[in-house]
Amino acid sequence: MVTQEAAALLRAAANGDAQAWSGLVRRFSGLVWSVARGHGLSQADAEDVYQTTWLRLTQHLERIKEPDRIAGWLAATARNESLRVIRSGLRVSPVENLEPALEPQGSPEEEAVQAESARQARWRAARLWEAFEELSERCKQLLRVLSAPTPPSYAEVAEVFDMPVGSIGPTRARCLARLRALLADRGITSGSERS
Amino acid sequence: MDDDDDELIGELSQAAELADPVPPYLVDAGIAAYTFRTIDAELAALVFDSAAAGSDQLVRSERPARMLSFETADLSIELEIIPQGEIIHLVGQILPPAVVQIDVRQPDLVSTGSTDGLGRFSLILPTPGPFQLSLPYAAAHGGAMVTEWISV
Repeated sequence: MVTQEAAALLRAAANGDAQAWSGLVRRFSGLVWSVARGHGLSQADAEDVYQTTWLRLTQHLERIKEPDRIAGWLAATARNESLRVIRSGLRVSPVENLEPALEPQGSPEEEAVQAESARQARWRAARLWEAFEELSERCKQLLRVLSAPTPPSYAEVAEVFDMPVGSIGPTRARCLARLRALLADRGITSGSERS
Repeated sequence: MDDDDDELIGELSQAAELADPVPPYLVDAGIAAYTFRTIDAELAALVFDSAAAGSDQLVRSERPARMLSFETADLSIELEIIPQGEIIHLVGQILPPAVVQIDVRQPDLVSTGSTDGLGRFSLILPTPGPFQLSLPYAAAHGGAMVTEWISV
């Protein structure tokens, strides 16, 4: 089980195993980053929250009560820190540069040689990301956690967002339906509607 | 419909990896965090944070300070984070009062200060970013005491 592996890494790291620590960081980096960015933090603020989350964990390695729920602990810590950075309002972050990170970057010739399917996939991902950015704050926060490389369980997500566990599935479905509608606005279909 | 939802989540996961990946140097920083671990230090828990959810105090008030309290069984630290232009001041007091060394620990540097006879301290955060306060000789057993890490 994935969670058991993570729990074993946590215990090993608590006992001084630096390799296990690296393993933990690599495994859950995407999750911690997704939580911070899902809360709309700038790159700089998200980097601070990311670092603070891992520094916090170094202090709590021996104190985590449920090692198999480490994903939930990390997500909750990153969320709390994100909210504090937002609420403290001490930092004036520059407005995010909305760089079109997914636009073709090569020369026309290079682009031309790229496989057509890869190009289409990139185009589609870029449109998907645009649509995602238009979702409500709540949907962005939730979907980024649920689509992270190593997402926490629904029970953990419920704790992180202080929502009843039974509402996670329906909220996810509503947010995804909204995302589909935003994609449809762009003339893009998804799922089984796609031929 | 559920399968479609799972597929869309999968697509979203890939799009996030392309559009908003974790910066690689940040992963290295996360790995390096392990070397700042203070194994034998006593941890002073964060018991109050004016920026925490549920605390409406001081948020967006006329004075943009953030107030925090840390506690161990026998010591408490009151801390005010006050930005003044580019400089971030860390002003506070330890209770019960004592003259002790107090350090600001950050991932890339440690700066040292001291409390006065009333336990008060006034420090500067060298660079914005995560930090913890460390009192190297203030724990009950004479060892180090550190606070939770805070982002500013």
